[in-house]
Amino acid sequence: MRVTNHTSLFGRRDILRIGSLAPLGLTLDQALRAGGRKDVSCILLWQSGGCGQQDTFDMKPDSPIEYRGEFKPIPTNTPGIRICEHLPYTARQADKFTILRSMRSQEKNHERAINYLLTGYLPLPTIEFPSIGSVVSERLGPRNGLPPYVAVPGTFPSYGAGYLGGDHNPYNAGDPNTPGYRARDLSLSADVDWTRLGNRRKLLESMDAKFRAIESGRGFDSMDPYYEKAYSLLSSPRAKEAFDIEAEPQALRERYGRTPVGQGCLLARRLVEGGVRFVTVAKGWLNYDTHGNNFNTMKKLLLPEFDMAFAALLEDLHDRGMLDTTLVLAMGEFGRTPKVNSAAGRDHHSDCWSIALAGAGIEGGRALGATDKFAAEVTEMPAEPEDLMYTLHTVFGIDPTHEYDTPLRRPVKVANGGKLIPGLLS
Amino acid sequence: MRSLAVASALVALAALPLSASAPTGLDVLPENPFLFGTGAEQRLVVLARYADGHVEDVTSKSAFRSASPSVAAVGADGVVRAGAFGGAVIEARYGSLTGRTTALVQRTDSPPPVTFGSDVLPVLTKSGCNGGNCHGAMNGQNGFKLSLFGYHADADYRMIVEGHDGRRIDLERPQNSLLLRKPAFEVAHGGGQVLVAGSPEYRTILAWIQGGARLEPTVEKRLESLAVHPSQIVLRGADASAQLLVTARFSDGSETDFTDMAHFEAHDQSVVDVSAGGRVTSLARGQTTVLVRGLGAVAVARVGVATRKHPVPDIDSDHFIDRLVLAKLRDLHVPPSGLADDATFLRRVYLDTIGVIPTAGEARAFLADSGPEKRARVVDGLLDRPEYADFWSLYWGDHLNNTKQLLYNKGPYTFTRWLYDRFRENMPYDEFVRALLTSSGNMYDSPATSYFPLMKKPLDIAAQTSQLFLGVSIECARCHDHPLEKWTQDDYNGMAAFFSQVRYKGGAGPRNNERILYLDFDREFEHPENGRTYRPKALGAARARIDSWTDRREALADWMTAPDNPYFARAIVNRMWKQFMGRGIVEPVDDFRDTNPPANPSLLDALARDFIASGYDLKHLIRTITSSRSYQLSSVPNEANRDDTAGHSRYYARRLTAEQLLDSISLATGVPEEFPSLYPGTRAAQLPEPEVPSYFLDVFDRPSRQLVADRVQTNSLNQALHLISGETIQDKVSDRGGTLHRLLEGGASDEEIVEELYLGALARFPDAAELAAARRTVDAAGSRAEGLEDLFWALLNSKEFVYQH
Repeated sequence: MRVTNHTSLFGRRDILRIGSLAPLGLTLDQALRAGGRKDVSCILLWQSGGCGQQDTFDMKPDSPIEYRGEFKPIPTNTPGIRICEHLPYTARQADKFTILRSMRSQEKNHERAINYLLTGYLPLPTIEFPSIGSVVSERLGPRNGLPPYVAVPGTFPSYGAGYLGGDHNPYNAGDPNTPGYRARDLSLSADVDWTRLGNRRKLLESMDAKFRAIESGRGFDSMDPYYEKAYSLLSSPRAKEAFDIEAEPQALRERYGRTPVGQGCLLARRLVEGGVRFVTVAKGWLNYDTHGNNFNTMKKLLLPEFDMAFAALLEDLHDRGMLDTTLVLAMGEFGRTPKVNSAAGRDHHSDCWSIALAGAGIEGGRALGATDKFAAEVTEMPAEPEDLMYTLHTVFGIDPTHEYDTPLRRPVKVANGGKLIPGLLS
Repeated sequence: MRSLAVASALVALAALPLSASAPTGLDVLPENPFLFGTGAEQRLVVLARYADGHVEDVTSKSAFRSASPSVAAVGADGVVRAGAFGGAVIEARYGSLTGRTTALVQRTDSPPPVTFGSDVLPVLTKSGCNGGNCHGAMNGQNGFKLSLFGYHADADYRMIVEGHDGRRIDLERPQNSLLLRKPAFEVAHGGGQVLVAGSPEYRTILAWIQGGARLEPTVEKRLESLAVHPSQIVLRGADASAQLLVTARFSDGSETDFTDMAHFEAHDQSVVDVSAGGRVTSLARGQTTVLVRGLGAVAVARVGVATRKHPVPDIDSDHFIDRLVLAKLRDLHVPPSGLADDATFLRRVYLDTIGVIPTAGEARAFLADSGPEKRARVVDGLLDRPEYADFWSLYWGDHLNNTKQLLYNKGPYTFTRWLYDRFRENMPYDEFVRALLTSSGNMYDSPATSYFPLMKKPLDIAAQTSQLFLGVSIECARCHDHPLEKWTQDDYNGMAAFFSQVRYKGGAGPRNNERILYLDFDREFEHPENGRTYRPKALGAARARIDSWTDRREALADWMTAPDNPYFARAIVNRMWKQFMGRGIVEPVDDFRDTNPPANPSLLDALARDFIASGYDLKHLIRTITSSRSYQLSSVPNEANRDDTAGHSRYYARRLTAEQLLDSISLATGVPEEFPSLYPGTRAAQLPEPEVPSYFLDVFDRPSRQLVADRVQTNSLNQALHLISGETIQDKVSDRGGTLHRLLEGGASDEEIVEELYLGALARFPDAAELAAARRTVDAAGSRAEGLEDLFWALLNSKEFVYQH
C-alpha cells in the first residue's frame, strides 16, 4: 500500500515543467533546485550512540543465534518488510516510510561519527563544520518569525552552526515531557509582566547608548540583532502557541508516549506546524551505546519509547496532511557489531546500518539497499554520509554544491561531494 | 608605573590634508630580472617613492628606454622582450625622475621547452582545476583527482597521462584530448568552461601534448620559489593601486615572469582588493598581506594603506611595548586612543588576569587610592590570588583537552588540580611544558600524563604539541603537504616519531579505567597508513640523533625550550598577548607561518626576548603587558583609528567568555551559581570538566575541550533570550539573600543602593544622569524593590557589563 508517492513533492504544474525540461537533459535534482517545490520541514529523531541494525530494521533471523540475537522479526503492513518484534506500532506504519539498509561510513568513534553524520564532513581540528539544521537555517531563513532550527531537548556536540556563526545554532526547547513544561526562556517569569519588561528594556537602551562609541570600532561583535529577535520572539503569540504542548489532546499525548522522545516528537510536529524548519529530537547523549546488556536495554527502554513516538508521529503527520511536506528521519551515527559480545552487548559498527526516512515525497513501504547474511557489510547500494547529506539538501531544495567562504579561507561546499541516493526520491 | 607618566594633551589629532609634495625617487622592478631564451618577456613596474614612505605606481605614466635594444627591447607599456645574449640597462623616466634596472638575457641558443611541472601545472592552478573545491579536493571530482594547488607533480602527471585508461591525452590528435576539451567546455564538464580555446593557456597545454606529453622532456625543471615585486609597499588614500609582479625561479636556474600564472589573495579583504592579475587597490586604512601562490610555492607582499595623514603624537613612555606599538602606528598614520580611566582599567585587568570583575568594595578602594603606582599594585595583588590559578587552569584545561571524554571520570579532577598547583606556584613555562611532555606513570598519581590520553596516537600528539606550544598547525600535512606552508608529511611524521615510545598498561588498582604510561625504548614510529618507519625530526630542525636509551620526548623538550628555538617563546607570548589585548600579533595564535606573518614582528620578538630573559615567567609577562600604555588604552575609537583591528591603537572590546560572565553575574548579585555534585560556592572557572551541566555556560560557548584551537565566541538568540528572560539573571537579582535585597533590608537609601549596584557591576559610580534615570525607574515601578531589581537587571544586561572593554 502506498500512501504517498514520489510526485507528491511537486504540484501538477511542476511535473509538467520537469517533463518539458527533460529534453534539455535536466536531472530531477536540478529540476528540484530550479524551484517550484513545496516548503519542506524536517524532524530528525537522533538515535545517539548508534542503534543496532540487526535488532531493528535489518533483521537476520537465519543467522546463528550469536549474530541474530534474541529478537524476532514480525510482519508489517507492507508485504515483504519485516522489522523487530519490539517495534509493533512502527510495523503498522511501514507503508509510510522507507528503510535504507545500506548506510555505511569509516568512522567508529562516537563524537567524530556524530559530527560526520550531522555535517556530512569528517571532523577536522582546524574548522567546525555546520550541522544540517544550521545549513537549512542559513539557506532558508526563518518562517513565521519562529527560529528555523530547534533542538529538543537541547544541543549536543555537533548540533551547532560551526563556521556559519551563532545565528544558526539551534534554539534549545528543553524537555517537553517535564510537568508544566515551558519552552526555555520563552516566557516571562511570574513576577515580570510586559509593563515591567518594557521598563527594563527602556532603561537598558538608555544605558547602552553610552556604549555606542565603543561599538563603532571595527570588529565589534554586537548582540543587538539577537536582542531584537529575542524581544520579538518573546512577544510572538505564534511562538507561544507552537511551544504550548499542553494544548494537545490528552489521548494524542498518550499515543506519542509520555516519554522525552514521545513528547519531543509531538512538540516537533507543533513546531513544524508553526513554521520551524528543522527539529532534532533526541533522548540524550549516547543512550543507544549498548556495549553490554543490549537486549534488555533495547526492549525495555529504547525501542518502546522510539516505537510509540515514531509511529505516532508518522500517523499524526499523515492525518493532518503534513507528511507530504515534512521529512521524518530516524537515524544514529553508526550501527552495531553483527556478533553479540561477551557482555551480551554489541559494539560500534560502521560498515553498515539502517536508517528510516519518510515524508516530503519519499515513497513509503520500501526497503532499499541490502547487507550480507550477518548484517555486517553492505551488498547493495552503499550510501555514505556524503550521499545522505546531498540527498537531504536536495529534498530541501538547497543546492548541495553551494559554496561557503570559511574562516579557514578554504571554500567549503554545503555537501562534501556525494550524490543522490538512487531510488530514494525518484 | 611608567605609562602613567603620559601627558594626554600630547594626543593631538588634527588631520592634515593629503600631501601634494613631489616624489623623491623612482624604483623600477623587478631589480635586474633574468630573461631566458629569445622572445621571453618580463613586465616592469615603476614606483614613485614619497618622503612619508608611501608609493605611487607610475608605470603607465613613465617613458621607457633600453640602452641595448638588440639585447632587450622595451615597449611603451614597460614590457621587456629578450633578444640576444647579454645585459641591457632599461631606464624609466617619470617627470624629472629616472630609475633603472638591468635585464639579463640568457640561454638564447635554444627555445625553452614546454614542461609539465613549470608550464602545464601553473595553467591548471591558475584555472582553478586543482583547488580544494575542484579536482584538488580530497577525493577529486568525478574520478579525476589532482594534488592541491599542484604540489605533487608526479602524481598529477600519472593521473593525467595514465589515469582514465589514458583517455585524457590524445597524442594522435592533441586537440581531442579530454584535458583540453573538458575545461574548454567542448564536452560536458561539471566545472563549466575554465579555459578558452586558443588562449595562451590553452596553447601551453596543447604544445605540451604535441611535444609528447612527457613528464620533463629535456631537463629537470621544478619550481623552487616565487618572489613578489614589490614585497612591501604603503599606498596612500583610497583607490590607489599598484601592480605586483611575480617571478618564479626554477631548479634549472632559470627564472620567468610568473605574474599571469600566480594566484593572488589579500588576507584582509577590507583593506585592499587584489585582481586576478595581481593589481592591488586600496580600500581602507590598515595593513594586510597579499598571499601569492603557485605550484606549491608561496610568497607574500605586505601592503599598508594610509588614508589621511594623521600625525601620531610622541608619547612619553619608555616601555618597550609602547615604543614598538607606536612605531607601527606611525607607519600607518594611526594615532592611538587616550588612556582608559581607572574604573575601566580596574575591571579590565581583573577580567583578563583572574577572570572575574572586582567587587564594589574593591572598586571603591581602588578609585579612592591616590598612592603611586596603583595600577601596578593591583596587578601584583591579582597575581597572588587563588582565582589567578583557577582562571589559567581553565585556559589550559580548554586547550589540553581536559575532559572525561578523553580522561575518564576521574582524570579531569586530578589534572585540574595539577594545573592549579602549577599556576599557583608560578612554575616557569618551559618547565611546565617539559613536565607535560615527559610525564610517565599512573595517570591519576601523575596527572601530567593527561597530556597523553589513550585515544590519542603519536600523530595526534604531534599535531597538538606543534599547535599548542609552537604555534604551528601541521594538521593539514596529515593528508597532504601544507598548501600554504613549507611543512610536509615528512615533517609531521618526524614530530610524531618523538612519541613512538609512549605505551600504556592497565593499572593494578580498582580505580576507574586507571592506566600507567611507560616507555618502550625500542619502539619506532611506524606510520599507520603507509607502514613506513620515521625517525624523530623536530620542525625545521635536522633529524635528531637520539640513542636508544633516551626518552625521545626529553630530546624534543630540550629542542623546544632552548632559548634559540624560533617558535616556543614567540608562541606563548603571542597567546598571552591575545588573552590580554584581544588579538594575537599572529592571528590565529596557532597558525604561525611565513604566509601569515606577525602584524608587528619586532614587538613579537621583543616580547619573546623579554620572556626568555625573565626565566619563562608568566607572571612577569602579565606584568609587562598590563603595565604598558598600550594595554591601558581606552576602547573608544578616535576618528582615525576606528578601522584599526591589528595595530592596538585602542583596546579591542569583546564579549565576556561564558565563565567570566557567569562568575561575574554571581559575584555582582551575591548569589553563587550551584553546579550539580560540586561543592557549594564552586565558580564556573573552577569546573574541572565541560560535562558539568550548565545551560548558561553551554549557551555562551563553553568549549567541549575536544579541539586544541582557541574557543569560538559567537552571539546568538539563545543567549539574548537567556539574559532577558532566563532564570539566571532574574533569580539572582531577586534572590532574598542576594546583594540587592540585603541592601534593602539593611535600610540603605535608593541612592546608596544604586551606587553600590553600579560599583558592583561596572566598577564605577553612576553619574548624575544615570542616578536620575534610576530614580525614574524606581518611581515607575510597582514597588521600590521591583524598581531596583529592574535597574539591576538592566545593569547586568548592559553592554558595559556583558563586554570586556
